[in-house]
Order: sequence, then structure tokens, then C-alpha cells
Amino acid sequence: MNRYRTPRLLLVGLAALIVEMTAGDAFSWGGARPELVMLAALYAALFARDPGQGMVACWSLGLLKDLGSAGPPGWHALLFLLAAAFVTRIRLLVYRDHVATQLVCGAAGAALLALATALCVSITAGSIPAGVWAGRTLASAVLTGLAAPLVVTALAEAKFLGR
Amino acid sequence: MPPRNRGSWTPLALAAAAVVLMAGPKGCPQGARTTLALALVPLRVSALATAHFADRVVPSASAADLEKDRDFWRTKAAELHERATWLERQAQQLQRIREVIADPGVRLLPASVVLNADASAWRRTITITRGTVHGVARDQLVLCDKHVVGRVAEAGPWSSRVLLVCDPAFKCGAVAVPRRPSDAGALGERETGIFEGDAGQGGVLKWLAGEAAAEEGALVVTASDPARGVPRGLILGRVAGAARGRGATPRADVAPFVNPRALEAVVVVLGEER
Repeated sequence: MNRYRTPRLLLVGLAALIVEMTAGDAFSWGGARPELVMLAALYAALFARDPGQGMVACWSLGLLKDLGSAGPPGWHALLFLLAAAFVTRIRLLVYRDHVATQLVCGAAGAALLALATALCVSITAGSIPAGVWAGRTLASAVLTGLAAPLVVTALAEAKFLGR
Repeated sequence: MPPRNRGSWTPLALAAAAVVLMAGPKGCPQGARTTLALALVPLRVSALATAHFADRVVPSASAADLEKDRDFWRTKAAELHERATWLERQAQQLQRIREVIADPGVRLLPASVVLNADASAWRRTITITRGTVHGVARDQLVLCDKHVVGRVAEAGPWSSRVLLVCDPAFKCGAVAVPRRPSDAGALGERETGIFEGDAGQGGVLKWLAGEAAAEEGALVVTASDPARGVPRGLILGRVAGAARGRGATPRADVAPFVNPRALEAVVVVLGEER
């Protein structure tokens, strides 16, 4: 199933957010956990009908993540939108169904998200030690990268999302 | 309009909306965000109930009705007992806090913790079931016994988000108290530093004056800050390691005693009644 309905994907994003905020610690490593909402956004960008749908879905998923965070509202929405703008441009050049593509996109996305958010937190809230930055970014990239093929494949096969 | 044209303005409009949300007044989305967080509570409860059910042995089909009744009332009694224990614990907690905050004018508000995590891996927050209708406001202290849990960051009508002591935005004046009482002068005479969360499991005590003792194992307590409603002597944690580092002043890693993941109930310090 390579097409999705945005409202249905947002429901999946909400479920992912709940899992992150309730059972996320069970899968955490080095203070990081798999970025499940970001993986839903990755699927949205890779399998969108057109770039507009991908960007709207990613922006909405980012806003959903902002609801559960103490950071500035709109921050994740902006980051997910930028990522979607990039992915929707390159998706014709990559084989999106391949595990390696999903793994690399997931890991790179999580690393960039972690770095950008850490920078934002350092500026707006308070400094974060360099060791915590590096360790958690790496851990987040590894965990999210490993989870990416599973999540993206599951979403691509989910009949619930399709039309 | 063809899809190509629609695609060109969509990202700009969405980016502008995100920037407006970030740049807008901070109080504006607080109520909505903290109230929406409450919507997760039934889902969490049902998830826990499902997990609990899975742990139990399902009785055989031949079990008698009386046994079922007995089990039901046993569960009911256990629930009530648990409730009584919880209330007793709350009362004891309030009593212990009153040992530090003796002023009867300062109101204390018990609250339950509904969410122990933040959506961002870089922030350390919890959500509690008390909001502006109960008198909760931004910057109020949140305690668990004599331990500082954090400070209210956003207050919605019925729920609030609390920055934990290990969040990088948490800062307060703090004093290290040596383990041997003979080494400790009066608390008010000791050098005050700044405690900051480190986005990990603890925080850092820094800007201590040159010779101020911050030995490993020393207790770190709050320094009096009447302007922000912080009384002296509330516990922040224990010094886990001290080093001078590259800076001119020593700094110490502090490990809090409270595990935020295990928190179920806290107390909000509402301030003086007017």
C-alpha cells in the first residue's frame, strides 16, 4: 500500500506519540529512544501522493510532537517540514522500499533532529554538556535507524492507511 | 489549481505558521497543550490495565460464581486499602514538607502525576493533574517530601507541565552541605552556587566560590530565594563527583534522589495566601 490518507496517518502518529511518552523508556538506550513520530513522518514524506501532501502530513506530525513537549510550539513542525521538503525532492532518486534507504534516512533524520533540538534547547532553555549531546544523538540515530525499516514497512503494508 | 502550484506555496505557508507559533506569546498555547496532554491519560490507564490483565492467570471456565464474587470484593478491598495508603502517604509527605516550609501562610497542593515523560528526548518534564483553576501558576516549586522535583513550566486549566530538576531550563541557588556535620558551618554562611539540570539524569552545581567544599556524597540543598518562592533547605540531590575542570570555579555533578519515572504524587507550593 503506497498511498495514505493524511488524517489516518495522524492517528498513527498520535499512537506513536503515546507509545513514546508511556512505554518509550522500555526501549531507551543512553537516554535516547526511537523517534517513532519522526518515522511516521519519514513514511509520510517517502510515500506521499505529491510533495504537498507529504509536507502537510509531516508538519502536522511535528505539531503533534510539539503538544507533548515543553519546547517552543512549532519547533518540531518546522523541522519535520524542512525534512519533508528535502525527502520529497530526493525520493525519486532513491529506492524507497529498500531497507538500507529507510535505515539511512531514519538514522540521518534522527541525528539531525537530535542535533537541531539540542541546539534549540541550549539556546532557549539551558546548556547541555557536550558528552550528553554526542552520546544521545548517536544513540537516537542508531535506535531510530534500526527501527526505521520495521516501522516504514509496517506502515507501507497497513491497509488502514490506504484509500 | 494544478498540484505543482499548490506545492510551491504549501511549505512557505506551513513554515510561516510554525514560526508564528514559536514567536507568539508563550502563554497562548499552554492551556491547549497541557489540556491535550490529559487526553493521553485514559489511553495510559487502559494500556496499564491491559498489561496487568496479561500478567494475571485467566481462571478456568469451571470457576464458581462465588469465587468470582470473592475475587471481586478482594480486588475492591485492595483498591480501597491502596487509596487509604495513598492518602496516608500524602499526609505524611505534607507533614515532612511543613518541617522545611513552616510558614502556615504558604499553601501546599497535592497533585497526581499523569505523564512521566516528555515527547522530546532533550527535555525532562512531567504532567500533573492540577492547573490554574486550583491556583497553580508558572514558576511554582513542585516537591516530593523534602526533595525538589521541579518547577511549573506551563499551567493549563486542569493540568500543568513541570520542568524536572534535570531539565536544562531548571536553575536555582544551591548549597553543598558536607557529610560530616562538624565540617558544616551554618547553612546561611555557606557559599552559594547555581544548580542547573543537564538534560540527563541529574544536574550540575556550578559557580561555587573557589574554596567552597563540594565533596563527593555531600547533600545539595536549595538556598533561600524569597523572590522566586524558594525556601532554604529543600533537597536537590547528592554530589556524585566534583572537579575544577577548565573553569576558574569548581563544579560538581549532582544526582537527584527522586526518580521522576517512579513519581506518582507530588506537592505544589502555591505560595502565600492573599
